[in-house]
Amino acid sequence: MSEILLTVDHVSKTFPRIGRHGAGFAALTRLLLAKPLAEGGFVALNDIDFSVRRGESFALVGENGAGKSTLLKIIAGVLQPTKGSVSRTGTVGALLELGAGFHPEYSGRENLKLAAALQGLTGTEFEAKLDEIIAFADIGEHIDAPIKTYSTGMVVRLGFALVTALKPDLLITDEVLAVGDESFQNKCIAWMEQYLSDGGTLLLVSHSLYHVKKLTQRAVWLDHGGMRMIGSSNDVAIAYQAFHEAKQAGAKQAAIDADSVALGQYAVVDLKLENVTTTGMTVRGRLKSRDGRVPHVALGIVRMDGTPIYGTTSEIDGQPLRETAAGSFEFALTFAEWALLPGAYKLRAHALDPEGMRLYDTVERDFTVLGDSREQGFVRLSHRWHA
Amino acid sequence: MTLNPLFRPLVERELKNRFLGGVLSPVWWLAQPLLTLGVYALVFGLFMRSPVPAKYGDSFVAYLAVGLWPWLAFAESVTRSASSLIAQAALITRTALPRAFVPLSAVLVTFALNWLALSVIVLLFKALGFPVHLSGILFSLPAWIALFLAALGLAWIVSTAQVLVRDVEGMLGPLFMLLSFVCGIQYGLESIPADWRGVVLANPFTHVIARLHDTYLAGAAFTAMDTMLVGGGALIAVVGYAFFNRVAPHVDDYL
Repeated sequence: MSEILLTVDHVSKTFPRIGRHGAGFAALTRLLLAKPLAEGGFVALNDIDFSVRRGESFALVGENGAGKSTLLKIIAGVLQPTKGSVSRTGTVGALLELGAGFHPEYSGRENLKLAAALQGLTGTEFEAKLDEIIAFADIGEHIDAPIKTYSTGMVVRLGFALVTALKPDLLITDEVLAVGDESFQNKCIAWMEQYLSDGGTLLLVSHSLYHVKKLTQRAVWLDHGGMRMIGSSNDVAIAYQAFHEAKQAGAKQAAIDADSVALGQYAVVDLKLENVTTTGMTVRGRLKSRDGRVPHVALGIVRMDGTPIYGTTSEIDGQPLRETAAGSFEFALTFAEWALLPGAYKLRAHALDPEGMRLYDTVERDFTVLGDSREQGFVRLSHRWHA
Repeated sequence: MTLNPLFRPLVERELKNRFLGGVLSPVWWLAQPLLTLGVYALVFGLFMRSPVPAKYGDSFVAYLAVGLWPWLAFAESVTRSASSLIAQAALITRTALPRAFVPLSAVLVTFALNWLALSVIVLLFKALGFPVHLSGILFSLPAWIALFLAALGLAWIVSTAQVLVRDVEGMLGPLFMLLSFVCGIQYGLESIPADWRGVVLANPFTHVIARLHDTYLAGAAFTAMDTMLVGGGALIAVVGYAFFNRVAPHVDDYL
């Protein structure tokens, strides 16, 4: 096992309530008397605990306001945790915010000088690397113009270029890849991949699950300041994506429920998923028919947000349901050799009238296809490359 | 001991901040105290005819100058530092900048510029035949250091306190004005009613200013008093640093 570069030991962070009259004075008094700061305030992080080993790449995912940036700031030594501690070994390079620490009035060169010193580079080391930095940032003569004249992309390039020259033991980046044009993003990704293959350690915050899966091995999902999940990037990304899709589907579900209030004529009363594997699963279920006629069942696989992937019915397939008791009809079906990519999905079952025309009921079951793939989309389409 | 690589760029930046932008900025460090000197010389020298204590010669302007510049360095550096953390909030809340450096660089640069200015003025006075001693440039150093240390300690205190309680900076102006009038910069101790002299002597800054007068104007060498003054300054610096260390980790929450 390689050495641990970063330990986040039960870290919590509470921001005090400020803005109230006299709150600052009260806090100052408590600090000077060595009393704990007043209770209350906004809990940004609660008991975060993980470690990162040398050569590992680690992602933080979570919604806006989940505490990702606060955690990165604590790890980078900008903020102090309220409880717990962070210990780091080796050099740390942090790209926290767009242009963080750059002063708009100063030139790119002058800003780089202070930024380099902040990352622990001495004057001579910095001079030696300056050309390399300017070349990577690709901003040419603008290096001597004040930062306030730069475009957003140029500021990002400058910040990233500095980090490439530092080659820190641990690189911390917060959403920087979201800014900058496509070609610079690709350049950054290429650099990060090289950095990782050279044994670098990465801590990445990104909303792009593609980047999370591509660049990192492990991930933490932060939710309202707490750790909701920790595990392989792939598993965390799948769960996080499913959470998002389910959230977006919330509104759609209400509409579906209204549709399927059904007149009570036909209903799905039982639905089970069995043997869910990477290649398929078996679905068993039971329908009720009030009028005794034989209903049909419609089965569909959708993403967590409700995007349909595949659907069929017993009517289309010409497979009548089996009556097991009066008004009770059972079905069983096996999906074999499906091409679903790893991810979270729902199986939807509807009761249909005997004509296969009218939809009466909707029952859903969630399932997850496990696996490790960076392919995009829902299904794997059979393909071959030509030499 | 190697100097932190951040120290130089921060001091450079502090220097550049002073001289950036304004047309007069490059001469302001000398012009501003000169104007203050002119105003005081007019009011206390010409209008009120403040007497110069006999041992310091007969030039009121020289008497005023050697006390005023160090005092201005002290008062200005503490006042500047008060808002320094807030001014550098962008850097402090986004980078792992050692915060103690921010007030330190403000104080250091202010003192360096004022020391340089007074040294130039003293050379000028000598050339013009004013009663000054060039040896004072060397022998006044302990008094300067004492003021610097005291300013640094206070700067650490007010810079952090200001973030939590924004009234601090506003209180400094009247406080420093009061202190400047009761430490013998504009007039000698003899001009103060005997009943009040005890109060003025209880002000430690009176002794610092007296050492400055002694060295620059009376040609005095190092004395035991220097040790006490530097020790006192160091004590303020240590207390200030302790205050800073306790409060500074929490300033982000209020910036």
